[in-house]
Amino acid sequence: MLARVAEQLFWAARYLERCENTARLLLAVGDALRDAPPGATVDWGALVAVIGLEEVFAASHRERQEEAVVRFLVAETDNPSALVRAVAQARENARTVRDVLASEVWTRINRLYHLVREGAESAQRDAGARSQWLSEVIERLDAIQGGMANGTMHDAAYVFWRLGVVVERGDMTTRALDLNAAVEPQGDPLAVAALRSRLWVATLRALSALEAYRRHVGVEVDGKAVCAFLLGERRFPRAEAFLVEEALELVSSLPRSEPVVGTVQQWRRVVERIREGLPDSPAEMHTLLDRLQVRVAAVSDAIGTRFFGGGWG
Amino acid sequence: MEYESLWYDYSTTVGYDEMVDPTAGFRPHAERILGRLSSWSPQRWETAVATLRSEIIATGVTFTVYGEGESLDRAWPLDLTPRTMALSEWERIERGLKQRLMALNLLLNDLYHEQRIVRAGAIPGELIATSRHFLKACVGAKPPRGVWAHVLGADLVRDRDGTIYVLEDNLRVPSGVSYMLENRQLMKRLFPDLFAAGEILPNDDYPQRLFATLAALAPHTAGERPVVAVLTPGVYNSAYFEHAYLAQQMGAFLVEGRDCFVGEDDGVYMKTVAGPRRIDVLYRRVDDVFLDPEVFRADSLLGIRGLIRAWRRGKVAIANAPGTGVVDDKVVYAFVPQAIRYYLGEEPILPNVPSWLCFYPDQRNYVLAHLPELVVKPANESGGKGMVIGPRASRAELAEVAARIEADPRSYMAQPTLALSTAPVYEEGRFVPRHVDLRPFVLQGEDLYVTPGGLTRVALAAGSLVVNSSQGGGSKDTWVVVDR
Repeated sequence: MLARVAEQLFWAARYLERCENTARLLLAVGDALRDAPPGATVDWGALVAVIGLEEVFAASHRERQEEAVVRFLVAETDNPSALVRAVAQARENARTVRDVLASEVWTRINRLYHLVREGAESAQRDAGARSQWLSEVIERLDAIQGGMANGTMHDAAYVFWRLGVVVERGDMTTRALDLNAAVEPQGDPLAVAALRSRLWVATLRALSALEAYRRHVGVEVDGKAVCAFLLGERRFPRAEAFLVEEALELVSSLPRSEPVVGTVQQWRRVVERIREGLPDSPAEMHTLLDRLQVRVAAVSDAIGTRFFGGGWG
Repeated sequence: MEYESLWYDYSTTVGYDEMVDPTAGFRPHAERILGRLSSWSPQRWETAVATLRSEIIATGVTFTVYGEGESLDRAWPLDLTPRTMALSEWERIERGLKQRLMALNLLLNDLYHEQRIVRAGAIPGELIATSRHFLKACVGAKPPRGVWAHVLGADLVRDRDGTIYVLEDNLRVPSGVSYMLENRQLMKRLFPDLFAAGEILPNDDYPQRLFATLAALAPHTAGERPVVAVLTPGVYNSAYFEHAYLAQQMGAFLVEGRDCFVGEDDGVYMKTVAGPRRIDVLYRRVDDVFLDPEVFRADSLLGIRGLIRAWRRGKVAIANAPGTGVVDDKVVYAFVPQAIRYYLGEEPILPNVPSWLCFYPDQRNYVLAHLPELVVKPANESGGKGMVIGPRASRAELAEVAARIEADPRSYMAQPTLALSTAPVYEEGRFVPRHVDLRPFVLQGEDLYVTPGGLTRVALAAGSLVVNSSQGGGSKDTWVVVDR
């Protein structure tokens, strides 16, 4: 496997996963915010903050209303993570390595690219069209992952692709858990409490974890329990504990991977400590999520240095 | 015919028509397909054309056009009506192409060694010495079996009287074969009812043939599968789709210059996630002068430093070998019939288009006196660049090309303006004749192979003779029809 090709696959997968995360967040959180109980005021800008794009957004926007935020996340050219741009980037990465991608996977990425481009405009204008479009985008993304999982060799190319997915997802799960802290609902205490609970539901929905949570944890959606589930549940594919195990397995299967295995172990140690107990204060929780994000970023960097970097003599 | 009106004003008077005989209707090899397509209703045509286009967009069969801002790749233009050719005629063309590539390889090997053909007086030595693509760095090199060009893309055209001519040889980086393969795949997938078993020759084994040709060049292959890599200039090259396609179909690596390096042992290596890996054969789709910054253009970022050294020492095989561009020179082209006679002792089966070389004073004078009726071509440009079509040129353009010829006669040649044959294209409810050419692909390894048919390019604008896809040309699936 060429180093350059491995890098392109890793990033194609990261960009696609980023699209899926953005689409899911926009769908779930959008519903919750639009449906805020009377007496509570909401900040759509929180959506941008959760994804970690607050600075990029603030540089060109003073408005933090629905319209501006949606445009920013869907189509804004200044935002490299906007759906339209992320899909285009993923397609470009895929195009440069199309010799190692299964043709049907390439075709699906290509179709997704056209769907996103063609639907972006009406999705900004009309919330109904947006829901439908986002659901279709998510479906197509799942079809791409399905094509990779079921229609290609699970060789080094697949390992780098999966690592892209796992790293991006590991990052996003911690961010989605920060949603309540980011929104900071104001106003009537009862309405605020109701909205907070809705936002926890939105976090679960954004990670397609609502039903799994209800079945395995309980009907009551409680912040701390949601965090415990999405960080520590080894059987749920978007939970940190699941992702870190997959990352370890993937990395271990690669040649010369010892230094990267070390950084994944560090990520895993943080997750293990979380499984033993979570802090009560929201501030401590926020710090913990930050630490996880740092660990995930370190894994991504280590992969880059070790496999894409050089040292060829 | 249910919808005869499709043909009501089809005129074949512009030249030879590949599929319609002006006096007798459909030519025998075109009868079945044109009969089938003539029974389509206008609605069926509309759906079919739309289906074809959306499938091409979805599967991303593209080519790149420069200078269009962000839209890097464009959907490949495939015209729905296949172009047919009778097997009995094709067999003669096939023999002619094999003969030609064999002679081209003997010529190349001779030019880079003793130059016997020059000493025999069949080609002026001055022409070779002044050819821009004669590479001194290749003199004396010994590629396996003396074969320099493993892949030839020959441009064939048919004139008014039905004669097929070789218009050009493309030996450095001939492109288009992936579109030939994709055209057939798309047609079979979308319109299976147009095909009948045993009627046309299949063309889908080209990738295996190409791989076998390349693998046979590997310097050391003790029973192991040799490492074959396609060397591409990268994703911004107009033929990137083809490079990726061929690598994928052959199960070969697709590499760029920056992925490779020449090691201390002069072997060529690529940078993999598991460390360096040796390459045995490079199928290069990078032009000669960009191959190695150590020997040719020092500013090239596309090549591999030290590659020519590695190749000359036999550490890596390169297809086509560096230096093959000398016979792409359109002035050297004029001597290929001579080369066939000289090396093979045979008459050329496929004639060249008659050519006047401005290198010779008498021929130059003829060209200058007849510019309005001739096509003038620079010796070393590709893709129709710098070509002047006399009958379509303005006075100013003619004066300008005359001045260029006077200033550098060696670099220009001229040919009569051919009528280029036509084939039917469906357009707004009827068939119209459009000019076509044909590019078959020829392989020379342990033996010779010609793709059945090739890539038909078609000028989609009425009256246009320009078939290049970068200038509004389209393509057709090409059928060699069994006619006995």
